[in-house]
Amino acid sequence: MTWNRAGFWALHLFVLAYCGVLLGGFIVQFGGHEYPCPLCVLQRMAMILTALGPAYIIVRAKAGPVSLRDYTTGLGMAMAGALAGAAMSTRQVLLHIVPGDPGYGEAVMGLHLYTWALVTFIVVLVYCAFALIFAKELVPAGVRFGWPSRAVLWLFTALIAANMIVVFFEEGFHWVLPDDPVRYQLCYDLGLCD
Amino acid sequence: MVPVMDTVIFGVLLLAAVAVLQGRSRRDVLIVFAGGLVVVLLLFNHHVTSSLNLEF
Repeated sequence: MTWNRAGFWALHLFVLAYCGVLLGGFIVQFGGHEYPCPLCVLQRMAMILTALGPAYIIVRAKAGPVSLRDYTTGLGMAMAGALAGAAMSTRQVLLHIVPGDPGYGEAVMGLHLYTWALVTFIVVLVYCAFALIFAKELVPAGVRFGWPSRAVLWLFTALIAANMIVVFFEEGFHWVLPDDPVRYQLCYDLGLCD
Repeated sequence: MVPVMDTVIFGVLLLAAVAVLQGRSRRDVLIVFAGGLVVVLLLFNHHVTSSLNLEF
């Protein structure tokens, strides 16, 4: 039963970790005055898709012990999101892998954000592999869906809404983002900036 | 008004999160999740405009 509780809180840590990464993205974007490129935004989307998996399992704990079916469904969702995200970040790493290429944006702790993104997606895949092997031991049971669960899920949802607003400012009324964004287009589309 | 793909996709992801939070059925959640995944992959495909200048 202890392991089942640990499995439940590990899922919270999973969602919280991605909330931290998404918040870190905002800090780099606004603190460093950087404009996320289309691939960077796609990786944010993949992180959200990935974190929806553990969020699904956490909510299922409201009604008592989580079934193995719901647990594996959530982990499967996380793996699908992580695989998509890994493809995107690998693409961006390979775009800048040639010696002499400065990469896109500033490096954080020696690595560019898309490289860190790839690291997170690989960590998720490894976590899901272990969680599936030990699914019976880690499936949430004997837990209570309380305010910490609610707070984590609302933070995650608020960050999705914040990303939607920020990307709308960057994209303006255009189909897609330019390859190398240099301004918040909405301000120009509305005639508020020259 | 011209549609704004990235903004709309974040809207779909927000919808998926709300479905999860409301404890909707597994089927409903998977439908919205799969829809989100498909549109994200389509947008990724749109942005992959050239082959990598690398030898594998």
